[in-house]
Amino acid sequence: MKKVIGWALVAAGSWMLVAPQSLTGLKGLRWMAATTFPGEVLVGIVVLAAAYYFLDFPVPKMNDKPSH
Amino acid sequence: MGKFSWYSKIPLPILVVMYLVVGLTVGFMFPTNEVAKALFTSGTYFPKTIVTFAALLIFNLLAAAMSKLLLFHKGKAGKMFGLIFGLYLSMACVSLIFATGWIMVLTDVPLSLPGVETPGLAAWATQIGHTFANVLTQQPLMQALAGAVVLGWIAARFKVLNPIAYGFIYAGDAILWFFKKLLWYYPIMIGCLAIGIPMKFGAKGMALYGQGVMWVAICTLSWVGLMILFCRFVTKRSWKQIFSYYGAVWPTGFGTGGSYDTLAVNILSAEHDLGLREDVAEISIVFGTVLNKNCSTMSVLIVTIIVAKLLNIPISLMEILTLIPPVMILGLESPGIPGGAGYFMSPIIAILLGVPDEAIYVTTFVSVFSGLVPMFSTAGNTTDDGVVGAIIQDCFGNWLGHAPTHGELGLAEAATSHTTGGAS
Repeated sequence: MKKVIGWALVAAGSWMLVAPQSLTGLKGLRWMAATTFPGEVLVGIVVLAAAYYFLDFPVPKMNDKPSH
Repeated sequence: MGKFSWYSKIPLPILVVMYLVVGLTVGFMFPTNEVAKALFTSGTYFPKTIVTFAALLIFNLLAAAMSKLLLFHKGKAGKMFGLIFGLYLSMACVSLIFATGWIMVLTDVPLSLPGVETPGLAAWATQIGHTFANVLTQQPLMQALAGAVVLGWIAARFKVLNPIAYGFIYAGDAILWFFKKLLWYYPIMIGCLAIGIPMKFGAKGMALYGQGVMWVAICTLSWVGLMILFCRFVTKRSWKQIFSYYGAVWPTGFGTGGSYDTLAVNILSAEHDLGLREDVAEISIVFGTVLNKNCSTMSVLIVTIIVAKLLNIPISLMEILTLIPPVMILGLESPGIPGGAGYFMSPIIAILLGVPDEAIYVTTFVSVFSGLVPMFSTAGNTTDDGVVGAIIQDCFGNWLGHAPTHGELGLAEAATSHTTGGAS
């Protein structure tokens, strides 16, 4: 259930980050801006953070060092 | 597939330059041809898509970079963390001021726009503050930028919130994975976009592109020269060590056009040629690869001037100074893909400059920030990492409790006989 909520929040948060910016860029996606509200990006950021919390990813491996 | 195996063996930067030259030639020779126009239009879709999704992409990439920095590198760098971070941040700031100095010398950009009184230092700072406050409250991209820095830091700092930081890191890695899968398209897109430079701006466009490359070369090469002198006179490295290091790493950075691709050679050369201790070389250079994009940010400022000239956007030093803080922050996001600085910084610059059409600005910016520009930038970025390592070892060795011994320095001298031999 946590995963479902997590992915739903990822979708919602991503939408909130993209929608206000969609007035610029691709013309075909400008309709996304029709329902924007003030501060939507900031709300989207919090929603996205909550989504990642629910998804509870494992500790990522750091792999930026070459083996030599 | 076998028939095209030779194509896949051509290094990406060479492919980009080839497609760029072909695109510029096609645009110059067939400015009214419908096929050429269609090719140019096809090239604009990808940058326009980036503009649409820029807030989401920049937020995840920058939050991931902040989280990685605190979660992984702080532990790895230990006592050196603050020192290295401070050195790279200082270098980013100084290099942007250096680039602004070159802009004053090389270009005819005025101190302030016509009709606008040149402000004093305090008024200037206030004006920059007002611009930021205004943009921050109104622009989604700037909100995403600020939110990424704050949330990335908070998520990594507090253990209970670490799962959020891991989420940022996975999202950031997924974005970079996606972009790396599309790397084959990057030279094609640059070729298509290049058609538009002479097609839309004629010979003036070609001349401005050439001028931009020349300005980037002057700015980054003079910076490299200064860093060589700085390294020689501030650290204990010898001319032989310094030139052996630069001789191996600069061409590799230039040839690969990506700091991640230069990482292995950079670490090896820093140890063998520059004579850095293994721990100092690894930490400073891995850190620099992630954090340091100072020459790329210098190039971004110069390309900003060129694009403003192409699109007839009024620009003054006032606007350039306003760009320095966000460009510095964006330098931390380190997309690690060729031309990445162009993709992810240009939407923010477009907003701060108040351009009438962001998509056209970004499209033009991406096409100008290509070819030789990222190659000069990467060569400068990567060699700066070794200089920072030398400063840490020679100037802060005592403070860190690992002063370099004569034996180590002697070993380093002897090791200069080894060469890392390019990008292999």
